[in-house]
Amino acid sequence: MRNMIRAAAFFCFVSMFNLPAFASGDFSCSASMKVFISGFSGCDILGFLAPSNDTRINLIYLMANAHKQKLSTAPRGAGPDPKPSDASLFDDGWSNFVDSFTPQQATSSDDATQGATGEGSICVSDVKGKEQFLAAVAADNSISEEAKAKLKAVREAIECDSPATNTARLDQQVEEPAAKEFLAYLAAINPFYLTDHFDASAFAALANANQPWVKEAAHYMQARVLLLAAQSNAFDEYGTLQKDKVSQVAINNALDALNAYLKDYPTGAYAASATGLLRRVYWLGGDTAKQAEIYAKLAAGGEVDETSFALVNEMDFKLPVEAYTNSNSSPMLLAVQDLRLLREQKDNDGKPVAGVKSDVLEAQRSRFVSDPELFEYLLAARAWYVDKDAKAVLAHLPEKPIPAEMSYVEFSRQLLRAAALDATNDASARNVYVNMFPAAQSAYQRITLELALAMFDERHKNVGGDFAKDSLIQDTAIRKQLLDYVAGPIILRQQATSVDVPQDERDTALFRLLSRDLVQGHFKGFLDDIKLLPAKPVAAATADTSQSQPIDLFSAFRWAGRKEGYICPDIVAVANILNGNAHDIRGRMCLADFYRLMGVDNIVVGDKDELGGTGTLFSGPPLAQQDIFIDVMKDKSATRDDRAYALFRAVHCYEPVGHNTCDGTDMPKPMRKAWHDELKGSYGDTVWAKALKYYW
Amino acid sequence: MVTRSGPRHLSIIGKLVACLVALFCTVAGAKAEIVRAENYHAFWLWAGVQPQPALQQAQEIYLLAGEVKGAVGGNSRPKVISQRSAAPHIIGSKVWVVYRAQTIEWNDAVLNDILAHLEAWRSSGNNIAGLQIDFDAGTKHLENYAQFLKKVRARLPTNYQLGVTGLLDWSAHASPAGLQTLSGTVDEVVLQIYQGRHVIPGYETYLAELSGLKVNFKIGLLQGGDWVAPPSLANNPFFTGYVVFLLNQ
Repeated sequence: MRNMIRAAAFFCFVSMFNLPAFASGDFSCSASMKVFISGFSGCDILGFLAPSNDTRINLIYLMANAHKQKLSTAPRGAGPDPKPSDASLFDDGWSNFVDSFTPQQATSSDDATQGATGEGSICVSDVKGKEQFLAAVAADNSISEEAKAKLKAVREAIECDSPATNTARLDQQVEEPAAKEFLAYLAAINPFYLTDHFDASAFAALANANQPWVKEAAHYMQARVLLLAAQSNAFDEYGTLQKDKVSQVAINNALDALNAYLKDYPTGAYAASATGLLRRVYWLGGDTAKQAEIYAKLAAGGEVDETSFALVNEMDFKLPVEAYTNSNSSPMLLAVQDLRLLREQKDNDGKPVAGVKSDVLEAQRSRFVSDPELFEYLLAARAWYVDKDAKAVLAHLPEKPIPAEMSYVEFSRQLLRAAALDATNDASARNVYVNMFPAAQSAYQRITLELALAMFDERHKNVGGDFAKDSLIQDTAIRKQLLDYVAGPIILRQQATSVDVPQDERDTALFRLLSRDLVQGHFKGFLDDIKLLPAKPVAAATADTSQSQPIDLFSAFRWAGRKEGYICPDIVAVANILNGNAHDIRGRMCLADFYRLMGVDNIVVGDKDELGGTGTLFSGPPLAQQDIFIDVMKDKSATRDDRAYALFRAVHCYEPVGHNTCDGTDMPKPMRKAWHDELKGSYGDTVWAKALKYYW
Repeated sequence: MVTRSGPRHLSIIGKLVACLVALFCTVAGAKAEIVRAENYHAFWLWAGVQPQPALQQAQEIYLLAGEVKGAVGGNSRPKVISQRSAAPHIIGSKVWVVYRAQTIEWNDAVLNDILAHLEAWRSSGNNIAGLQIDFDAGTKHLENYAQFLKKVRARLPTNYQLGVTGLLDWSAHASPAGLQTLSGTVDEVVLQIYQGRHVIPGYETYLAELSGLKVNFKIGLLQGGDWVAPPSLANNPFFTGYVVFLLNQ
């Protein structure tokens, strides 16, 4: 599964153009604004058991679900939407997910270095081993102080992996039997820490030691050395595991030794370590059934805590895909894999691969006897994602009361049921969403639910309700999306002047209102609305720090026009001209220049299946720059200078690489050439013809 | 859930979508070749990707060593997470130790870890070329990134080179000042120019505009992806070759 994630992560950077929210202009991946996503982008985090989630996210949900545990993201200073300030090129939703549970101020001091050298080192046990040894020696009353001092000196002289500075002298004379055993133990670990990591014989020789600490430590070390020996040839020159190079005999020796230690010392000092090493033995030995069994137990073992993310990462890294469906696996792991299979898959040529058939899932029914609700959800999810059959979803998910708090399976069921009700035009869908709100307490549930309700309202022409005072839609990003992509003049004016919303939202609304007024040709509206423009510059909102910061958010609307070249009055005067005559040539050409110079979008549309995809509630078609130029070229009342400038600008729309940067449809290259030729031919004496060197 | 905000945002989406459609035509006529690992001599080996025979002929291997994660909101401490199961022992090829960085807000512990890692791999007998940092430095952050890289350069022993992965749109959107600072600091940039298995349409234009970047660069290719070298590439004095991102076959 790791391979797939890695490949997916890589494709995250290589396929950025395919991602709906390729929004920042940087080639990175970010989440899409929809609840049901057919594929796997690696970027999306949804608060239910979604095929599009990273498998590790779904597993964390199922782990929490098993204990009816409520997950809470770590509090953040800046709003409810935790996000790293920067995303890596290979970034993925999982990293963001883990980070959102990580307190900003971590307290432990040593974990920064843990795992840095993940390839492992025999020295990992040196420091603790020394402490434990010295404590054991000190606690043994049968040993004289003099012998204790000698043992202490020898142990302290043993320096891991540094033959040059290791000054341990093992030829000490000690009398007491226990001291002799401690010394023999030191004689065993000295070569282990220096040169010979694969010889267990000296530890084996201490198997019958009378000193209990020596006996236990040697027992454990014997198993550890056998494991090191078993993996000694397992990694190739690149540090990659080559399973065919692992000796099964050696692996079995290590396994027997670890099990023997755990049998004798089930709660011993090294029991946790030995249990961990067992996972490594099964991984190295390729025993996927045992891996599945052990990971299934671990995943079901306890509530989600800060160690769970490391465990889930380890599973993702070490547990092969086939193990998830192994008979030793658990419903939890099986469900993770089932959800993954519900993703829309494409072959190398980009053709969709047929989705999972219902009998594949039905065949697993007996394995879900302990969790029929989860199984019914999986059947429903298959019907939804693969068959697109809302009625079948409803058949799998009969109405159930909403509990006070929803587990992830309950939340997933209710959410999918509501979506299926909506898809069958059942008007009760909205009530289901609304009734879920008080119970959507666990991490990522609320925001997913807000997105679902916002999409519902948008598609049912009720965006106004989302901006009512008691609106359930509180997420800043969702509200902003609605304002930018959907809201009409009434909502935008209301939000731009509302005293109940943060300044950021007022600014967003006013910016979009003024832009849309111009773009959609509502010049009278613009002349009214421009009065709302703050007199002083407004710094861009903090939520926008990932963007280049305009010094003044509204600087575009303070455009003073142009005094040379193609002369234009300021933007208010332009709007005044167009309010008097919407076809005024200079007015329109200056509006196009305003768009271009001030970077105001003249067409803002969202992806159809995302929040905002239904389009703006503003009336009238948007006025695109290129359309203005084409109109003016043809307009008999236009001056030579107007027509030349229109041709000049139209050709420049395709600079520098031949695509239309002026909005409107793409004109074929011969058309662009014809503009160029016309400007050069019929208007050759104008400054515009002289300034034009190429066409693109 | 990403904040998809900012007026500038919206213009960029629209324009890039439009540009995509149009740009595709510019390379449609050229005959693409499939990138075959055996024809190349430098490779990325990422976590979870199985080594391939082509690595035997490699002059340089960019081996993912780990990731630097964390620092949400700039307050938590970043962490280094290893991505390799065992230390490499590579004979014959130079090794670039690659760190994928989610953040560049590194504290001393992170850099210490990474430098220790470089030393550990070097003392295991690997011929370490240097450190490559893979970070999605958006163009607007490029100057911060350059500052960060200066700090890394100052700490990195002089026998190691410093490399970064780079984004194609640096050429289009980055400020000249940002690129200039970068030039003095890093020894090479490997540009990533793929969309799926296909080269980003219009990449020639981007590359041509890279004149602001006076630094050696390589081009990152995807194993099995398409590639057509623009004719001018061979004459670019800063172009030093290709790095192929290996995929499991």
